[in-house]
Amino acid sequence: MQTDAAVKKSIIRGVSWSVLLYALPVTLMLLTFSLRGQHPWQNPLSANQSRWLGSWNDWGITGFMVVLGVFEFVLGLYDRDHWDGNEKLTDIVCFAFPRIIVRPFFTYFSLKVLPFIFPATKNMFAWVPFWWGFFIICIADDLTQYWYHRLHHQLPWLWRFHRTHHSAPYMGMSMASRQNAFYTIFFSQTYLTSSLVYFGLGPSALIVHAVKSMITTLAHSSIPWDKPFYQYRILHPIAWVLERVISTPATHHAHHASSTDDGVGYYKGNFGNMFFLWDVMFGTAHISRQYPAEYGISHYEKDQWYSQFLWPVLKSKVEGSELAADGPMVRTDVARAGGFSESPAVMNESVAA
Amino acid sequence: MLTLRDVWLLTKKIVVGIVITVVPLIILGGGLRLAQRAIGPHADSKKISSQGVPNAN
Repeated sequence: MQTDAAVKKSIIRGVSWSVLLYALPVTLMLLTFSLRGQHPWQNPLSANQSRWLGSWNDWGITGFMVVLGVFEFVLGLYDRDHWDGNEKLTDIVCFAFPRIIVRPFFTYFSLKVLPFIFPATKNMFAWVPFWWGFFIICIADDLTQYWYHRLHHQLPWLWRFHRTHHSAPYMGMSMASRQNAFYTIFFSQTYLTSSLVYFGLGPSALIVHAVKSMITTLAHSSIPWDKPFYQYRILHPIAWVLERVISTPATHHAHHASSTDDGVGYYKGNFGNMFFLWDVMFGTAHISRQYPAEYGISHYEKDQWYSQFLWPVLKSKVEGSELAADGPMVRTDVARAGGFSESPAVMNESVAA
Repeated sequence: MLTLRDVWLLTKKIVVGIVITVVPLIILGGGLRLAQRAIGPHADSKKISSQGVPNAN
């Protein structure tokens, strides 16, 4: 299955603009220093602040996600008809994996591999002022994740590595980490940010990580915190800015919709994680201020949790599934009642569900 | 289990991942290095240690 020519063109155009976007914070920083005759000052974060932020990143975010999950469960926001044993296991394994396995792996990468690849460069950019570092990491981390994510939707051969994230027919905080193991291990933005931390931008990265985790978890949550912004007229200007800058439940839920037929769901775009701005800039945004009626993949075969987690090492036993040993790279969407089945050409345009 | 086709797929995925990581790293690292040179020797003398700062990831 080939990628559509228009999609290819759009990717190339977007990537070209991204090169400029990556260079933007450093260029602006240099320009500011030159115009003001400034020299970089010391990083304002004290050891105590750094320690506090470290603890928040280690345990605070996990704690926040667990509390949010309990709230979702108690409020009955999980779709209990769809959240069966297989889905629970998929969610739990995917939630635990990054915290138990991936984190030590990345710690090893930062402490052992980076000094080997970049000898004598540790903290070489520690002079970068904190807020400039924040600006740099925001763009570096989130724009890289945007492209990593978007390519997994638009390059058909990458889709199955990301399918697990979209297979659940419900939304909730656990969806943020529901990923195939290989998708998580090869997260490009994590390697990039780890390298920038090694070069001395650690304190800024901690703040970005804390903010980003909150935004992405809340965007996946079944608690529609953004609803009041659409309901009350007085809040509409704030909503207008908010929904264009960061990922909200409305825009990100649309990305997880099982269909685009209703004008609400839009799995062909809304790829942004922390910032929705990338979607606005690259023409992949769809804002409706509504929530989809159904989530997941229209042809979901309820593949076993282990195949969703470890495909292609472990395959699905469900015949015809995209994760089965002889399964198709991308399955065409199932026709809906009163709706239509998407043609392969449309699926080519953007692999998803 | 893994077939040759799967290994090829994983290899391609890793290569794409490396490109997505390395290109911004070169732009940012190169840009910061240039900025450091432009700013002058002050940058080096104001280096601080971020030892003990936990990995953000």
